Amino acid sequence: MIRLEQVRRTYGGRDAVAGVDLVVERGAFCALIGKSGSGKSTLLRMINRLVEPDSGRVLLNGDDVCSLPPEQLRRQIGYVIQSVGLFPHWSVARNIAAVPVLLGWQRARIQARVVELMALLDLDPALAEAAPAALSGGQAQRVGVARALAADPDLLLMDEPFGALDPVTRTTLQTELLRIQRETGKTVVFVTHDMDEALRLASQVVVLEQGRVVQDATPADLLAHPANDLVRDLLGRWDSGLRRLALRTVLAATRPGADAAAPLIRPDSDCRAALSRMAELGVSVLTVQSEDGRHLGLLHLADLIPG
Amino acid sequence: MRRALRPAVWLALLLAATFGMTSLRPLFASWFPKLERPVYVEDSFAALLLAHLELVAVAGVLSGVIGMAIGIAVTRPWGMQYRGLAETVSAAGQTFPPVAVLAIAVPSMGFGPEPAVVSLLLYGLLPVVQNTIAGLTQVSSAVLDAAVGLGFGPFRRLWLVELPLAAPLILTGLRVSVIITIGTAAIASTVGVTTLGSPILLGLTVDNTAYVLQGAVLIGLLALAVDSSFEAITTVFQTMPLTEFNPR
Repeated sequence: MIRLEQVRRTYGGRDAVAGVDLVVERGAFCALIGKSGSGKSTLLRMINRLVEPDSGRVLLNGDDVCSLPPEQLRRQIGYVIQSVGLFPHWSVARNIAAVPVLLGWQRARIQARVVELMALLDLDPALAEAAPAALSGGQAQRVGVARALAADPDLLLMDEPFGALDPVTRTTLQTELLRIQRETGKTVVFVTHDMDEALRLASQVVVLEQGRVVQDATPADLLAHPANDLVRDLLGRWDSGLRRLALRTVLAATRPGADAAAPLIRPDSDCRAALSRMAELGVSVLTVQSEDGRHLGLLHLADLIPG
Repeated sequence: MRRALRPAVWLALLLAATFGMTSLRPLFASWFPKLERPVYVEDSFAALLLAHLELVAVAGVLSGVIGMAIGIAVTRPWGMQYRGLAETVSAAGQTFPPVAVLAIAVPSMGFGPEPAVVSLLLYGLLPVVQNTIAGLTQVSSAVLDAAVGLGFGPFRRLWLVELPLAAPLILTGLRVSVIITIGTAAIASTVGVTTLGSPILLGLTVDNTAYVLQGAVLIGLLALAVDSSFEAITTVFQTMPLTEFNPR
């Protein structure tokens, strides 16, 4: 879907992006991660031509983005930023309708789409006529995501979209983004400096340092084989084992059996949560039970550690 | 409701003063017993008011349009480099006394409304230019980034996002500009244009304080009426319903 070929961009004699090759497949969830100044935002902004490369090519579905009219290109790509940037003089509904209006959709179609998106992002329909100033941070970013999805783009670019939210709201929105991405099969490119967020959401993690790709791998590969010290630092040297546990569901480690004394855990929890629960309750066995009360088996402490 | 009432009250006072000034003759006669002619009679006050308004309207519209155009131009990427120049020139336009501009303009343009319009236009430019620049530059960069990223072209960005968000400040600039133009327009009478300044000027020349007072009162009331109208409009702007895409 996206192919970057030897992309380079210089700001004031310094390479922000120094020759990056990158492929993001259709339907992938790609996280660009790195410290401040690693070039991750610049790289993202090259995909919708907010920044143009000094050299190299950015191909979207085989077309060089610099050969397309920028407005037309951007209307086909969802764009979400950390500061949200809702239009303060427009109602929530009008904000969400921004791109469909630009594209000249029929009014009835726009109206139906706004209703649909507000439901998808779990926004109270009563907020449709509200002013952005009346929204909480989490609600505002939900509207920001709805606005980006309005014209049903295949590709969604997100620049630290949840960076300004409190941890609880952030987790909720991450979960919803993951659900929406799985339901719609959209390709997402996501900038973050939070490794937990990258590991949790992404199918492809691209680590950047000084404008270069240091590692491009699946979350599991990244944890198993960090390419260098920077990647190890980003993973957190001491709890990368726990992060690996977090990638595995309880169901995957469940074995048959029953133990009336073992406390309950859900099969879709991750193994890190299971370990934490064992430590908290002082047990080494948990009963795996689905939300509808079905008994699925037992989770043993020994099974948490992959052999 | 009270906000909307205030301009109506000032307007009523202005009209009452305009059409009733002549009937106040006994009052002025008692205030200024030494004057032979205590009320200005060379023109009707209604004619003076209309002429004054016409001059203010022409100069005000011109400085509004030109000032906004300059303000918009120097906040575009291609005009950014001229921003300092525009601010300096419009500031100089206001520092330069309008009387001096008249003195310079009359030899080349002759007596009449043209040099008056030019000097008033220059004088009224600064607040419009400054407030247009201030209004446009205070639009949040996040909002602009979102607009560009979603695919708004330069014109839509300006028309749908920047101007509406800058409108309250631009309106304040226009208001200041028009108010100072109303006051300053009186000096146009020195170059032979009939305005509410005519009784003031004649009064000063022939030492008739009543004339001066009559002109000044009307100019003051006109300024108050226009200013309160602007205030009412600004209030409407601030409480304007958010743009809906589906008004029922």
